[in-house]
Order: sequence, then structure tokens, then C-alpha cells
Amino acid sequence: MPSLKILRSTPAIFGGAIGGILLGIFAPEFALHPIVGKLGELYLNFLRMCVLPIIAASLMASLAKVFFAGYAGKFLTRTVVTFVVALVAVSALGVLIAAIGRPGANLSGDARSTFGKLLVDSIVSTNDGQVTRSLQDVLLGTIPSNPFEALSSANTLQIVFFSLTFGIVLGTIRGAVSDDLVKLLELITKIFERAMSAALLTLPFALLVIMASQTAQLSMDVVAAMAKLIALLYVGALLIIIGSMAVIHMRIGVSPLRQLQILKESLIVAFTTRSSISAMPSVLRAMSDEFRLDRDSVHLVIPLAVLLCKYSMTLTFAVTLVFISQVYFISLGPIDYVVIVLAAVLASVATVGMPGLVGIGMLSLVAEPLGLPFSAISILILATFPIIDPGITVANVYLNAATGVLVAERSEAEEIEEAVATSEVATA
Amino acid sequence: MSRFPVSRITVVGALIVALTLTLTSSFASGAQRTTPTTDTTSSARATVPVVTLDANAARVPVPASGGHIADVIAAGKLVVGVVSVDRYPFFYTDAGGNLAGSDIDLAKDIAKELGVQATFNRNATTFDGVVDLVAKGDADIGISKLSVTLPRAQKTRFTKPYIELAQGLMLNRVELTAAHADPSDLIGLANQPGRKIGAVTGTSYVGFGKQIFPAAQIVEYGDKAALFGAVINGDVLGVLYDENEIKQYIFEKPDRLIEVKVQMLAHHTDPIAISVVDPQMQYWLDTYLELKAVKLSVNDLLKKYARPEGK
Repeated sequence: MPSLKILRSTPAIFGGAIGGILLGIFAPEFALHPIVGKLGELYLNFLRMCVLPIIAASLMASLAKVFFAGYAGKFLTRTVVTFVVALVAVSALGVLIAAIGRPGANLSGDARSTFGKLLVDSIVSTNDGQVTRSLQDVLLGTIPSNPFEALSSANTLQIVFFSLTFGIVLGTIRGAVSDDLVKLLELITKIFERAMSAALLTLPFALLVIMASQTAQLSMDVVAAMAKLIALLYVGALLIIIGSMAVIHMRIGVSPLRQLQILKESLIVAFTTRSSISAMPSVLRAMSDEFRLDRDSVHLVIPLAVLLCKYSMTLTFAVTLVFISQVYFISLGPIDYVVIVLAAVLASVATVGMPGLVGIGMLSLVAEPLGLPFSAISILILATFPIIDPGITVANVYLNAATGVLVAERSEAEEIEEAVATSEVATA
Repeated sequence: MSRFPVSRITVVGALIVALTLTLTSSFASGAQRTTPTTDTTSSARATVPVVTLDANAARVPVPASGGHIADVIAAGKLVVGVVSVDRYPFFYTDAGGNLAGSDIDLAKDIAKELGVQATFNRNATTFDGVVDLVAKGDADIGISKLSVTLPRAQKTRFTKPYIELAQGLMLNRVELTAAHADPSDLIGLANQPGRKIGAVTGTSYVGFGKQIFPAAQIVEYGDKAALFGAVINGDVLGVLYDENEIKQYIFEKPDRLIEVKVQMLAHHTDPIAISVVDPQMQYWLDTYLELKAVKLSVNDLLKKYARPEGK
């Protein structure tokens, strides 16, 4: 069906996005109509439907295969070390740009009164809108008492734990039966990847409605008041992307321009849906098909990176903590900056499995003990987040790909052939 | 056998006293109704300035009817005591120079239901002074954002509250965070030795503060501006004031919410009621408040009454 291919072309995708933005600006009544919002929601729900089985099945199958191949220990150590280094680096970058850019110093009167109006709305309910979940709850809640409940409530951390346990134990059982199960799990992954890929045919239309309703909901007052913070976070996102490009280029020799071509679909999905998980299947495909990385290690490291390493939150938290100290004239010493770097990493890990907006509340876990008053600023960040989110999500996806490239094994020729063969079988 | 035996003489004596009192009071009220100028308090009343609805109009002395409902209806006017200082949105001078506000509207509606004309006596310079006006009979009733307190209840009766103001805390966010305490228990947090809580001198909030935060130090400030300045600068952990004053300040300067957190205290209210002497008038007013379902809220009042310029 060559006519349908037009829908996956760059002009069609950008046409949908730009059309959506224009509709949001010039026809806000249409863009804010509940039906328009529901249509966008429909598309995102379809992506979420496909992603959950992909995460569970690919973690189980690829971990088992890594165990079969006998390099599980080395591989997992390398994964954890890479994740931690990347998280700390992002956090340090956030603290650095906030310390240099000073977004919270000398707020203008206009900006202050815009913030004030946001805060007045919040005191009517006398609730600062904070999520109360402690780090303990996060860690102690990792093990699900009922794995099906974890799946049905999309409790990511519990699903990861269950899938890893399943994969590790499966990897210790050698034999034809376990091979069959691994193949079945891989098939499940492929089915949903294919379904998501088909859904991308409707991406231009989905972008039209999603971008229209998002644009119409933006408050320009807030954009103006928080301009410096927004600009800094976009600078941070850009630096992360450039760094990731360099890492990928050095490691596997793919030029930045070619990288952008390969990751185009993933980055557009990330920018528009503001969800790294929705972009994951296309990242998986790009990594194994285009970057020629080992399919099993890619299917293990990318879901783990996407679920556990929320670089976008780490960056936002690091910048926000420094921002708070500037707003309240709290001076920071060198040790304070180091503590903030680590605190931002810790808080971002605590948001695992939470949607972005809810996750912001987790910053109070570290801000309050550090003596940085967070409750008022949390409302400002919540109001600004829809503007920041697309940019930092793109950076997040790019860095996920880069950590994937660092950790994953290079593909062997026969595995590529096998992958091509199975995909041909599935196409037929 | 009674523990307190009452002799026949005592009973007869008491009956005579009661009879005398009844006759005297009916005589007195009769005299009042027919010849008000011969009343013993008329010389004092003549000096009482009473304003009409125009706040800037010449103050014409209008004598009250001593608060008795029958006398008020007979006289065709209800003299309402209102303190001389403005308290937006309860009573204030609006852009047109007229006396306006929720208490004024309430008084006018009460007068309408009684079939009389409302006039306002703004001679009292303090809230206690309004209660005294009512107690002396110089105002028939007092509607002046009056808090019901035990000392005031010694002088007059009060109706059921027509609005209950919450007591509010305004807390400095930096100091609050530095205290590293459970944010859900703000009272426990503030009620500790060494903590400073501010209140305006001469308001009931100094007493409320000592009552709610016995362990803390209550720091007094001369006026609202000094009080709110102190919490913004972090000189005190928080300040205690009524819902109306705090919300007005915040609605006017919302950006201060970056520095301060506002919390209304759930179990500490300030009941506002009408001061009255005549039991029949009190009964009538309670019935009025109940049948008309008068229950106001600060948020509604601040929305309904346009804030006068420059206030």
C-alpha cells in the first residue's frame, strides 16, 4: 500500500504537528472541545496498551537469553554503572546551568504576580497539591503481592521486578521448553511492536488533535513569567542531546545527521506525546535494525533505561532545587551543590512509574530536608511543566538510546539474518 | 425536707419586689413611648451623632428606642451601632461616598422586614464601644463584625452567628521548611518554646494566640502592615489573624504567597453575631437569620463587594 506510506513521511508528520499548533492558537474553541481531547487520548491509550506487554515480555525474554549466553553478571553490572553515571552527569549539568543562568534571581514584578495568581487558586483549596509517598514506600513497594494487580494498575516498578525475577529464573532452566517460552515472549513483543508501528500511520491525525489541545491549554502568562527557567531547561535538553550524539558517534560511528534520521520517529513521538515509554518501541527498532546492536541486550537495556532512568526528571529537579535557593535567597556552598546533585538523582528515581506531573511532587522528599521550601514552587513548576516536558522528553529518549548503545553488545551477523527472516515471516 | 428552707416572709418579699420592678419598667417604657424628651438618658442621646446611609452627610442625632422591638416598630426606625472605622467588606465607604458592605445590607434588610427605616450610629470608636452603645440603649442593635466574647456577653445578648470567620495562620515558608517538622500539624509546629507568632496589639488575636500556642512567644505588632511585614521578613515563624484580613491581603498581593503559606485553622473560629438587649428582639433576629438562611462566607463577600479604591 504505497499510498499509506505518505502518512509516515516527514512532511505528513510535521504537517500534522504544525496544523495542530495553528488550530490551538487560532481556533481554541475547537481545540478545547472535549471530543478533540478525547481523540488524542484515544491514540495515547492505544500506545499505552501496546507498551505494557512489550515491557514485560521483552524484559523476561531478553534477560533469559542473556543468562543463556552466560554474560548476565557482567552485562547487568555494566548497565547499572552506566545508568548511575548518566544520572549523576545529568544532575550535575542541571545544577551547573542553573547556577550559571540564575533563573530564580531577581524575578520581575510581573513574573511574581503571575506566580501569585497561580498560588491564590491553590490556597482556596488549602492544599499544596503534594504527593505524599516516601522513599521507603517506593522501595518497599517494589515487590508486588499480586503480579496481575501490578499489571492491571500499571505499577511499573512492580512489573519490572516481576519480569526480572521471571527472566532470571527462566534463564536458569535450560531446555527446549524454556526456549519455546522465550520464543513465545519474543513473539508477543513483536506483535505489539508491529501494532504500534501500524498506529504510527495515524500519527499525523493524532498530532493534529494532541498539539491543538496542548497549545490551546498553554498559559502565555506563565510562559513569559518562567521564560528564563524554560529557556535553561531547553538548553539543558539540547546539551544532553549533543552529548548523547557524541557518545553514539564515538561508540558505533554513526554520524549525528544519520542518527537524527534513524531516531526521527522516536523523537517526534517523544516530543508530541511527552512520553518516553510511547517512543520506546520505535527506539528498540532503531537500535536493533539501524544501529545493528544485539537484539537481546537492546531489549533488556532500553526498557530498563526508559523505566528506571528518568533523566528528564533528574534535570528538572536539579535545576528546580537551585532555582528555589535563588528565589528564597538561600546561599549554597560547594558541598550544598554536591548534595543537590545527589538529591536530584534520588528524587528522580523515586518518581519511577509515575506520570511526569505526579512525579514532580516527589521533589519535596529531598527539598524539604535540605531546607528548600518547595510547596509554592511546586505549583509554578506544575504550571510550567507542559511547556518544558516535550523538550526534556526528547533529551530523555536520546540519552536512553545513548546509554543503550554504550551497554548493548554489537550484533552478530547471523542474528541480523535471523531477525530479517522472522520479520519476513511475520510480514507474509 | 428542703435543704434550703424558704420562709413565707421571703417569698412574699420577693413577690413584692418583682411586682414593683414590673410596674416601674412598664411605666418607664410608657413614658418613653409617649414623651421621649423626658427620658432620663435623652440629654446623653442628644449628643450622639448618628449617620444616615450617606457616610459624608451631616451627622443628625437620631435617638434609639432602647432596643425593644415594640418601641422600634412604634418609632419606625432601627438605630444600628457600627464602629467608626471601616472594615471592608463588612462596612466601608464606597466609591460614591456611601456607607456600604455586607453588615450594612444585613441591617437594611432587617429594618425592611421590621417595616422600619435603618439608621446608623457610628459614634463608637472600638468594637467594645458598639456593645456599650447597645447596652446603654443608644443603639437598638449592633451589627459591626462583632465577635462574640465572654466579656461582651456580660453586657448584651448575642444572636446566633451570621458568619463564622476562620482564624488563619500566615507562615514564612523558609522558616517553616527550616523547622523540619510535619507540615500537616502546623499548630503543633508553632506551639513550641522559642517559636514566635505575631498578632496585632489590641485585637482578640493576641488572646487567641496565647490560647492556641501557649508554649510559643506571642509578638505584638501595632498594625496589619507591620504584622504582615514581620512574617514576610521571617522575623516571626507565623502570624495569627482572621480569615478576612488574611484573604484580603493575599488577594491584593498574591505574589506574597511565594514567601508565605496561608492556612486556615480548622477548629478555631471567630463567631460574628448581632448584639442586642431585648429578648424578644433577639428571638426575632434569630428567627430572621434562620428563616432567611443567612450564613455568609468571606470568599463570597470579597467577591460580591467591590473593593473601594485606595483602600
